[in-house]
Amino acid sequence: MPKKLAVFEPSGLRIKIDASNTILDAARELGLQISSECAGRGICGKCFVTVEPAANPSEADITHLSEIDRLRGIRLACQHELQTDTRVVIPQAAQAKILMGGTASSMEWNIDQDLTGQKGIAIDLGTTTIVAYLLDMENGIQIGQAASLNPQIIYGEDVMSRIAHAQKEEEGKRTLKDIVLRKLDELIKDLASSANISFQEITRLSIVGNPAMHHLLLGLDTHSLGRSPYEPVIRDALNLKSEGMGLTTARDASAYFAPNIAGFVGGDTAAFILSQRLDMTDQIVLGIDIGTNGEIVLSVRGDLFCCSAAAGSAFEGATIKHGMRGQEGAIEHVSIPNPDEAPKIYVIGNVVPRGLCGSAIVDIVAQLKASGIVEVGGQMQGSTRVVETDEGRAYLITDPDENGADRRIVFTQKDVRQVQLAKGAILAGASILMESAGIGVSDIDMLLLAGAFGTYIDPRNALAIGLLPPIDQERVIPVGNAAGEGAKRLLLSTRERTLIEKVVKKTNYLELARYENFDKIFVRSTLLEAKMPL
Amino acid sequence: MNELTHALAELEEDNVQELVEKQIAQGREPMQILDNLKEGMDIVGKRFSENEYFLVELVMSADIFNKALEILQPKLLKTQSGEKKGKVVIGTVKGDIHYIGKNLVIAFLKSNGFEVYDLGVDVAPETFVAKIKETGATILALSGLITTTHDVMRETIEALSTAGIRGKVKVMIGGCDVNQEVVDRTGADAFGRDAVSAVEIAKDFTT
Ligand code: B12
Ligand code: FES
Repeated sequence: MPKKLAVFEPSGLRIKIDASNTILDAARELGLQISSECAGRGICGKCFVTVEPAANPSEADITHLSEIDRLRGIRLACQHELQTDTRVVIPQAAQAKILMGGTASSMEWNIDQDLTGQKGIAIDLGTTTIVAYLLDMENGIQIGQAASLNPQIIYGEDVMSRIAHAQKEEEGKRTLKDIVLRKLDELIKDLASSANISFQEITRLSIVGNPAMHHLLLGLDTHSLGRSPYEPVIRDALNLKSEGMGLTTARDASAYFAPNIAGFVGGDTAAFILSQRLDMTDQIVLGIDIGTNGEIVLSVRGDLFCCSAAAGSAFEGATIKHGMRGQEGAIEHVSIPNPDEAPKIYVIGNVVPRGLCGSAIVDIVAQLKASGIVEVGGQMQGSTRVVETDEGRAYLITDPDENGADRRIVFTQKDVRQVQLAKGAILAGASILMESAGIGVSDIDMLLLAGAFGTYIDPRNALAIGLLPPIDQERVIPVGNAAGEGAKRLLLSTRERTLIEKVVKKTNYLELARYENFDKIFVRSTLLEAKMPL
Repeated sequence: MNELTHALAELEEDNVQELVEKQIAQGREPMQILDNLKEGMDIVGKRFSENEYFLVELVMSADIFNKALEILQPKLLKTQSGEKKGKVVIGTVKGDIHYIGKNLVIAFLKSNGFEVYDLGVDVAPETFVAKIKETGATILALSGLITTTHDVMRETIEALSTAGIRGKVKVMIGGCDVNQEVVDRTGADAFGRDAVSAVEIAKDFTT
């Protein structure tokens, strides 16, 4: 029986299972909840999910789902076997823990003068999540926030798969644009109704995102972004009418799009620079967003350098056997006090553990290395808790009944390799950026970690496996959703907009791909040690 | 396992060099020495496929092999020439710049006796066609790690047809998410998951 892959959102959990299983079976196998009152007989109509690719609707689908829903790829999970590798979004499931807060530099905010009585929404449009902040623009006070998974995720987790989808399917570009627009409408509606304001009061939006998110939202052609030399069609900042953009809420607002820096470094990175005022610091600051695109910024007393080190989605759990997003049921931290006994684990929400999220993935590699189970080169040694599986060696994190688990959760040799590739890309990128600017590790005053992952990881472990350049732990500072903070500034101030446009022009983009000896540096960067690869 | 094979499989650089020099001095057939080294590389490749070795080990093994080959080369040329198994033209297709995996494929093809012409990265279809015509290679190996380049692989293979040489070359493809589906979509002949399977496919193509 051929096995097919099913990936479930928003958890990010995945399973390879016989194709004769239904989507509902696969979800149950992972311990995921889908309402199924009739126990899979196609009668209750409760088990609806969004699937991609969607098979032809069954009789039961037609009975229970509207035509529009069916066109949107909604199907009954009990009615469809896994005929092919499938992505599934479960509705209303436990919301992923989305990071909304961020810290900004303590500089004064420049708020435009004429904004009395007006509201605005700052949006951080990420590849995985969308976060929106409602602000009273008169005083800059935040009066609401809302977040959601980026619905485009059904077409793949990284930007390239989305771009490929936009180009491959007839209607691909339109679909990707429409689903984000509808999600933005939904977020704006939620924010407005919970703050009890009308759409008319919302006069401004500001949107920051990477170039792919930016282009897909605007419905721009992505061919040049998808292929070397990966050029964006539009680099400059934009100011559009919401309605013209395709929003049906807050139609009269004007929407500001932050400028892109390069093909894979966008307005979100620019907003990060702005929020920390990296353009005018008198220190040497390295800023890293450890995501799929791995944007890295270096400020040498205000001189800016940046690059993108495609780490891939290992730290989002995507290429890890039992990986998942940081939400309820995810193991968030792991420690191994004694290699012969079950490790200590901390589960988000204190429930039955389902998988590992990024921070635990970093912990486990560091802890395995410290206990001598994994070598510097990443090789896993035999040990009491190392078992042979059909995918090779694996370290046993939980067996049923251990640590309150109801299933076996392991970390495989292959998973270690995936972490090595991902962290290798980041470390190689950071090292080359530093080298090109003539900066050594001891010169760095601060290392800012942007994004959710940076907030939850244990810096000690991240340093121990060489995910970050080997600097003092005290100098590693998480800044949370810094892009979101930047978006707020851009919402409120024309001066900040002029500023970011200037900053983007003077930021030096380094093309890692063309860097001589990249391969040698990258290969050394895959070693699990706190050492520069140069 | 033979001492030399073992030394290479275990990545003992100094030991490999000493053994090669000693065996040459003792008058051992250079071709046999080379065979032992290749067996060592096969083991390294197998360990990589099984996730026991990783990039660092692979790069080290290629280094050790190449150094040993340098010592061996002058002796080899006298006895065997024209021993090449077949000619391969390889490159990362237009639109993509990843080369690390491709270079490993090259190292393994070479250590298995293939004559390899590397066109580098971001290679246009016409460049592939020209090189195949120039060298008379019968194998084309295309690498592409980003999803958007699957279409470029198809275009590249179509260019072979347009040039009227599709029938003369077998095409293998590889990189991140390349699978049978991509083979069908691009019109390639086979795909490989790693450097070891690239060698197997190339051998298949030439027999
Ligand atoms: C290292 C790396 C880079 C390096 C590239 C260095 C170089 N010049 O080669 C850098 C950092 C420069 C880079 C850049 C980019 N990258 Co990159 N990169 C990676 C990474 C981390 C590892 C790739 C690698 O070298 N693996 C190790 C080698 C040994 O494995 P391999 O290449 O798969 O090769 C093996 C097999 O595939 C096979 N094989 C390969 N070719 C062939 C050919 C044949 C014929 C056969 C038979 C077999 C075969 O054999 C090889 C050896 O066993 C991956 C993520 C990951 N975890 O895999 C992303 C990844 C490949 N990159 C990706 C992307 C998108 C990019 C960018 C285009 C955009 C970006 N910033 O995200 C940029 C380029 C833009 C720019 N301006 O720089 C994506 C592709 C996503 C997709 N769905 O298409 C990945 C998957 C990360 C991700 N999920 O986002 N990247
Ligand atoms: S479980 Fe009732 S219809 Fe699917």
